[in-house]
Amino acid sequence: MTRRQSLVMLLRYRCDLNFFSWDLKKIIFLVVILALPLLSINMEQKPNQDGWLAKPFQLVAGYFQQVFFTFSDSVRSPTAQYLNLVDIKKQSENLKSRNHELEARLQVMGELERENERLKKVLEFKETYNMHLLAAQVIGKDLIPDHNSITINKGTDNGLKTGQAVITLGGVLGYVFRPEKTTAHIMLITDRYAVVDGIVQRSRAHGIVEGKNEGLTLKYVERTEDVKVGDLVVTGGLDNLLPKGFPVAVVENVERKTFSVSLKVDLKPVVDSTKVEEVLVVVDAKNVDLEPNVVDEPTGEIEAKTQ
Amino acid sequence: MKNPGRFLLRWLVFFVLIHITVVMSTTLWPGFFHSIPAPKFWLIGLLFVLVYFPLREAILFAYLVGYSITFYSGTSPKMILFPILLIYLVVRPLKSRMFWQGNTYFVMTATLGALMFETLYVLFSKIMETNSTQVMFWDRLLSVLFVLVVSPLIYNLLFPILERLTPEESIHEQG
Repeated sequence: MTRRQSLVMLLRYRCDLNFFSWDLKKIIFLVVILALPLLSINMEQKPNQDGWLAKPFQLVAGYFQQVFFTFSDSVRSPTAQYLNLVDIKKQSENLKSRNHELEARLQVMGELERENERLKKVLEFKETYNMHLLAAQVIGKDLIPDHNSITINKGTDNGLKTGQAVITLGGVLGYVFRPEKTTAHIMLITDRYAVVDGIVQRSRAHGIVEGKNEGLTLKYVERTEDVKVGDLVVTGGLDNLLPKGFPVAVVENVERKTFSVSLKVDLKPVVDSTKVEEVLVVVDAKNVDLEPNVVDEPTGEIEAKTQ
Repeated sequence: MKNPGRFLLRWLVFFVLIHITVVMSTTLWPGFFHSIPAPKFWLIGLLFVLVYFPLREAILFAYLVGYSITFYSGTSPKMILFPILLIYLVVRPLKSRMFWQGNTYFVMTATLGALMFETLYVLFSKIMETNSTQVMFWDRLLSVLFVLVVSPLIYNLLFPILERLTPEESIHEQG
């Protein structure tokens, strides 16, 4: 190898190694990779997001979750039974294994019975209130742990639209924010992107319920308003998302800061979203005011019902 | 792009693989473990792409995957894409100066990437969002530790696939 050839090789090698050596290609590439995240600022997850760019991704996401839910649903109970059997095999007595098998069956029956009871209550609820409700099953949770959204197994094919309220028997859960063909993403009221109109049931103090990672806060309540720990906060209905008078949360803490015009009110949601398995989507509420009927129930009972 | 067919296959295979890790976190995990937060398998997959994919392809593919996974969450795309960009701008120059073969290199880079992701997520949330996220120190630390523990397994799973799908470009070298 001549001296010239080795010099050329050395230069090329140095050039390859240097990440920040500039040429037109690299500049264009850098402009592109910097521009994409900047463009993404305008791609906020707006409730009415329906762009052509999002469609294929929505389809893929919906399809993947639907397929995996079906898979996990069919695998879950055989896996549990298998684990039970492994335990049983360790014991040589035939009678014990039979006993375990029967117990497992009994558990399944108990689970079915509880599910049956839950569904019966849902049916009663649907019949009692003048609302068009659609029952759905929770099939997924949010990918990012500091966001609170869930995925349900009903979508635009079932008449779901952006902004429809999602409730349980005990209270408000959230609203549909990204319906797909067979699934829909529900923004829970506890998510930090979520806000709903709220009223303190006892004193009628108005405010905005805003989600935070753990729990809720009631904002913009005037300092002079009467709010006490234990008060029930219900939906105000002004947000056009949720029917008026539905339980949202219980006041957990009230802080009156000296130099603030509004109260700092911490709330505890009446529905524990981590335990919800079935939800009801309010397809049409026709300005229903639930207050006289629903809020008569004590919060404890509401919570118990939800679980 | 020396072989468009292989390039498309590589993108397709890794797109599907990362989406499988995503649904493992969103659908399978809650089905079995209920309220225990799901580990971020997808983040390790994304970090693998940023480290081992060909230089320019890595960031574009990571953007595509990053954007697509926002459809499994309530988060906005900017909260994923900005951290991806900054991780890329750290791990690739680092790779061009310091690289060795084997899973220990990936463990080191992935842990650094995960640490950056968690920190940048909080930072960008504070800067760009009205109702920003909470620090949740222990949750995030646990997430980084999870990456440290699981990344060798993911490396051993993904690297042979990438090796098979990228024969024309060396993924064993710096750059």
